Amino acid sequence: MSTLLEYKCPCCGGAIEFNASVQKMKCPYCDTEFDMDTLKAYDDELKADKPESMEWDDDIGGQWQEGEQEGMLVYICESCGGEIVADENTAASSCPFCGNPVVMKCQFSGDLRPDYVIPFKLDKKAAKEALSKHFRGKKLLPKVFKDENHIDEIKGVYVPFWLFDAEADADVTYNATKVRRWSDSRYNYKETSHYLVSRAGNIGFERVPVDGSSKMDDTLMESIEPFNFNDAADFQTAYLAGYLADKYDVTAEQSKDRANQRIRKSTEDAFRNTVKGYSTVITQNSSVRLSGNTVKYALYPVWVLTTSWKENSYIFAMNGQTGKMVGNLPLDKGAFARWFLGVFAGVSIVASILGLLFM
Amino acid sequence: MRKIAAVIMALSACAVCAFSVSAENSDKVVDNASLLTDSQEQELEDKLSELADRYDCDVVIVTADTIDGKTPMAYADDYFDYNDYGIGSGRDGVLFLLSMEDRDWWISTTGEGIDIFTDYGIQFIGGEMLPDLSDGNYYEAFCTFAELSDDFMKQAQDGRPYDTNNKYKTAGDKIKIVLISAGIGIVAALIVTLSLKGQLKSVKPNNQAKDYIRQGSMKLTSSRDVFLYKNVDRTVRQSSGSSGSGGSSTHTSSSGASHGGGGGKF
Repeated sequence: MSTLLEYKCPCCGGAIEFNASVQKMKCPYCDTEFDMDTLKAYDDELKADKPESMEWDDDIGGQWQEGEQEGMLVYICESCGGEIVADENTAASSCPFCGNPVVMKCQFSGDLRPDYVIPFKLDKKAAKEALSKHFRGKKLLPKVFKDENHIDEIKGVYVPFWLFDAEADADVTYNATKVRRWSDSRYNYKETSHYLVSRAGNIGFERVPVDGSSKMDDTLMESIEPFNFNDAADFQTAYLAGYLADKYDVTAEQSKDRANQRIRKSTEDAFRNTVKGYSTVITQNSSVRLSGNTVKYALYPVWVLTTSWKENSYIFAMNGQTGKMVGNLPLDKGAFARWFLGVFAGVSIVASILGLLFM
Repeated sequence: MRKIAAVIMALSACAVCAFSVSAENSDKVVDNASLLTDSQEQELEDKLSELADRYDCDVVIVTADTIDGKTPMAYADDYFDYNDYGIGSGRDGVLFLLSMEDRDWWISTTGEGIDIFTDYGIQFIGGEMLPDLSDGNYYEAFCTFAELSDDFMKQAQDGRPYDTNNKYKTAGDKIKIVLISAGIGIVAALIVTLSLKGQLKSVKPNNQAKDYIRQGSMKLTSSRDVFLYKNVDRTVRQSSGSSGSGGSSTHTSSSGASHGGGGGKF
């Protein structure tokens, strides 16, 4: 039984993949395009043909030392018969021998099947352009970094996200003051009025995402938010063809705390914004209760680019839906010093001249 | 003898008359209160004469045991007017009066002197002389007056006399201004470089979830703003008098001449 899924073009038999620019499956060999619905039917057909099984063999041979092969799996490419080695969380890849895009079918069966997928909207070219745009206009980026820099790896990854829905009930009290000032011929007056302000209510959150892959840096993933869920589609494996896809390896239970933290903060912010017209507002007491937590599992599109420079590697991530590009860049210390001295000298001289002339 | 004396009196009267036509009195230091030694008086005399020649503006120092019941202003103005001080048709000049009677000092200005020594300038000069005057170092104080007069007249030649918007700066003031400017420069440089550095960092945690608030889901079930108490602080107003428009205020003396001036106690 095969564990790999390839979509063969009904016209020419070539392996077809999801094309981000036309938002359809497209055969790279004969340019035939297919609707996702057609493929869904095709997908269902395949499933019906081959009853799914979770019993893949991860104890191939006895020559591995114990634990060594853990998390590593070997698949056979359906096109050329080559062996594809991947870790247990890889769900889609391409064959290193024939380059055909493949999807590890079993990774998405049973409990593990994602509920939604946001398909890639931007292709590899857009990611490359976004990276060079990311370098532009940054005065303290070393010039040679831009020139010498070459992209080591660029990959489109469907990253697993847990989506949390929650209702938040909040009870918050604030100490607030209003200040009024006036003056007569002899004194300036400052009147401070103290108020106790309380707010209670509820607010709903939809699909707060938390990165479910330990391979992806959580902060990097939070930086490319937000994703727009309106583009999400019900999950079909066909979307994954041509891209890499990971399976979650951080459970929803483990991810819950982070979502709660963020929901709590935004709830407090939202209620704080209803306290208006005061000079100072200090939160005295805040209680936020979360209820109705439901979790969904989705795959979100991310372009990951890695580059190296001076023995350091730099990782960039682009939101495959909105094009938001993030990634920390190295600092040119010489340029930093030049800017500092330049601004310091310029401002000091101008200020000295003005001071000596007009004070 | 009497005749001779009368003739000398008459001659000297003529001489005074003849002198008053050219309207100049060469006695720049009139030490009626005897605060200076002869040699000090001579040195000051030389300095002030040299200043008067150089700037065409009379500089006079008068000390007095009594000012005859007049105000220091009136005494100084009258002394200047009735003793033929001042150079040129505008009778340009400045007179420093030190009265020991009630320990007053007064600077009276006339003609161009009014523009050179603004109200701010007069108070500044008085302030610089004050420590020496109070300690009885009159010669040192008068030397300060001569030096500052020199600086003020030189500055006025450039068309921008020292005033509230162009204050006289001692070396210490200048160093202070340069240091403050350097401080401003450091702050500006830090703001610019740190914001440029901030451009390089784009990976940061997203600690809130406002993008995922369900539209219209926020409901306030209770909202109360309870007034508790109030208190009032009052502070004495800072008098902001000195930050006026600068320049020189003038008045008319008993002779009908226009003068500027200012003074104080020492």
